[in-house]
Amino acid sequence: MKDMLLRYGRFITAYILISCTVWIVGLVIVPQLMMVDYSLWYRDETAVQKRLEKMNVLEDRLLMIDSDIAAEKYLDHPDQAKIDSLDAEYESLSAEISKMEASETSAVKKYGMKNYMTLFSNTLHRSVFLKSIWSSVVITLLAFAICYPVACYLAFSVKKQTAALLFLGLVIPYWVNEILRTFAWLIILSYKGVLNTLLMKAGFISQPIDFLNGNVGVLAGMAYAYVLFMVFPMYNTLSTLDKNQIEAARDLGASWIRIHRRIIIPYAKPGIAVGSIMTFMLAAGTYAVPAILGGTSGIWFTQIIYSWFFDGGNWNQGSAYAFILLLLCVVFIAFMMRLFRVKMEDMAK
Amino acid sequence: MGQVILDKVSMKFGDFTAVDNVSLEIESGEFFSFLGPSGCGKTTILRIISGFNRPTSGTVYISGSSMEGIGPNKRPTALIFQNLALFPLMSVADNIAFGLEVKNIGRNDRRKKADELLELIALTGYGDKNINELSGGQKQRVAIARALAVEPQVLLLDEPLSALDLKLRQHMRSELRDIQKKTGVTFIYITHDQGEAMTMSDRVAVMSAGKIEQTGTPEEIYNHPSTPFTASFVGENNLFRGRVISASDGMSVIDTPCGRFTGVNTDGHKQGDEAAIFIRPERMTVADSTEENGQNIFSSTVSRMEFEGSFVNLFLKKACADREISVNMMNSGETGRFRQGQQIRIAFSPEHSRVMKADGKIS
Repeated sequence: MKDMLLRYGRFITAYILISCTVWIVGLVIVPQLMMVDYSLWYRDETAVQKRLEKMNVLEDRLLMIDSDIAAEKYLDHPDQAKIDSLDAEYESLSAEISKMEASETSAVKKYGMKNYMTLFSNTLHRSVFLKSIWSSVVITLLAFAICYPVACYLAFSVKKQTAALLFLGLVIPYWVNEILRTFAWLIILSYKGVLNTLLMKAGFISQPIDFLNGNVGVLAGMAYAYVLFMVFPMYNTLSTLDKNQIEAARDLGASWIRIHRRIIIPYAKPGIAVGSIMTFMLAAGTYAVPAILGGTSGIWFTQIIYSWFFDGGNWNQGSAYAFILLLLCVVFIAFMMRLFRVKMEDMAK
Repeated sequence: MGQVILDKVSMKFGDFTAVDNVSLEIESGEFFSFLGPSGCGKTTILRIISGFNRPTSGTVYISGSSMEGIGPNKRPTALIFQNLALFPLMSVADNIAFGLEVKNIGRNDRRKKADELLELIALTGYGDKNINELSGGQKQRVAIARALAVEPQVLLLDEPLSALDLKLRQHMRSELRDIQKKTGVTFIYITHDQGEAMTMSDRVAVMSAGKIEQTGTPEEIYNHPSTPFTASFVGENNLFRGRVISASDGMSVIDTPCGRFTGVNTDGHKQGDEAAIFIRPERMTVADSTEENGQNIFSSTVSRMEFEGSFVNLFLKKACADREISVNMMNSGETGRFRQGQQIRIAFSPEHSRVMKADGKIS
């Protein structure tokens, strides 16, 4: 603290501290806690029902008192004491009813794991959840298979200037909005789209293939959307590998496969881990790509979360699902870091 | 026949000729050095021998067979890189045994061989250490062990000592020499440091601009340089430029602005050629008043003196010569008699002076 004051002065120190606090508290801790809180309670419908029934009973009783008073007043010699006591009862009952009416619209919160259990009891949701995870893993592997050769080529086989040009080529499509890029894939992959037309013209197929109502569209679209997040971290680590090590291994008789297995991949581990984590999280958390390219069967877990929030109006359920997805991503990160024996500080590089 | 033969090897990168028609034979078990300034093509030659570069023309033979079309992983050579290129993610033993792992030799045998080599390089018990735990000199020795593990016929070393500090470098010289003697492997050593080349090598090839200037034992190179480049690159040399006025009997006489000098005709030049006469600073003496017969004599002015303890360097005004003339004398206890500005006479003998054709620039 004293060190910081000395180095940055009062104003910058205050700025750093305040912005960090706002970030951590306002944008991380509080929303997460709210989400967890939301996910842990649900509206107790039976309690609401009971409340309604009780209100009905009270209202009936009120009507009875009303008629009793009227009947008493109708007598020649009304008993004033009886009327007074009925009046008092009437007053207290109507107060109770108006109190109940005031809280009628507010939900009865009941805490429990019910929202989480829904995922396990609802077979459709469960299968979509598992499919989303599995597909994200496949997309990550696919992105790795595409990007590893590219990153190796950029890091080892081309000059720095050429690499910069090629990177520009990789980045340019990303200047276009993700939704538009995904629509481009829709044009390519649709039933009467570019790819089918070309394949049919070339005579490879006689009937158009329905790419979109399966997983092909989603997988292709996502692999395309997220390859860069795999290429960059891998290229970054690979470009720092001393090329003499590759030559040394070659000189000692190693085949290319062994050089990749023993020298390049072990060295690239932090980059692979970072790239895989990014790709997996983006894939698991995407909404646009499956919404556009998924057709009717390519539903993604995020779409279910979305519909809980905005179609079903059940924020509690949506929060629980979102939290499960978050937990899953954290578990995936931990798993990848363990698998690649990468530490946080390696990844920060 | 030599173990490594370069037959008219040339290497061009675009317009630039890195290696220019080099032919050479290196004997089995020899410690052979390529000595030259940076950019002279010596590293390219090493990479050609190891197979990382394919020569534009010419052929390399190792142990009698042509290396054309044979990759670096299939050649009986092992290369030690300038920066060593040890594998930082493997242990010392795994580094050393990498070449054996490649040959699918079992773990126990690999470990045994690694331990043997660790003993050779005096690092017994270091096998499980991490590479980054070693000092510069230890890394150096591990790199040598890693290369020796594949039992190469030829070990190629690319300035491996350049990253070490002076003291360690001098120590490693004798160590390298010892390892070479013990193993009997042919060492081909690249360096720009003449001290290294001279102290370790059986033979040295002096290189300049892609060409081999001279090949010979360190003594031959130093005492009998055959080209102006060798004469001025290896060790200190004084030179006087002039024109040959007579050339006969292996000796020639040259007229220079400092006087008429006689020296050994090293390259068969003719009368009238532009030439230079080279003489080592330690071969020059201060002439007494008595005339010394048959000696080359000239007089000059002392410009400064350097006292180095066991010997003294005397620098003379360049006046008649191309550059400053230096005279190197043993400290006889009476060097104090020289003063700056003093006029002195210098003598040097013709048989230690070497006259060579010098029409171009001399480095």
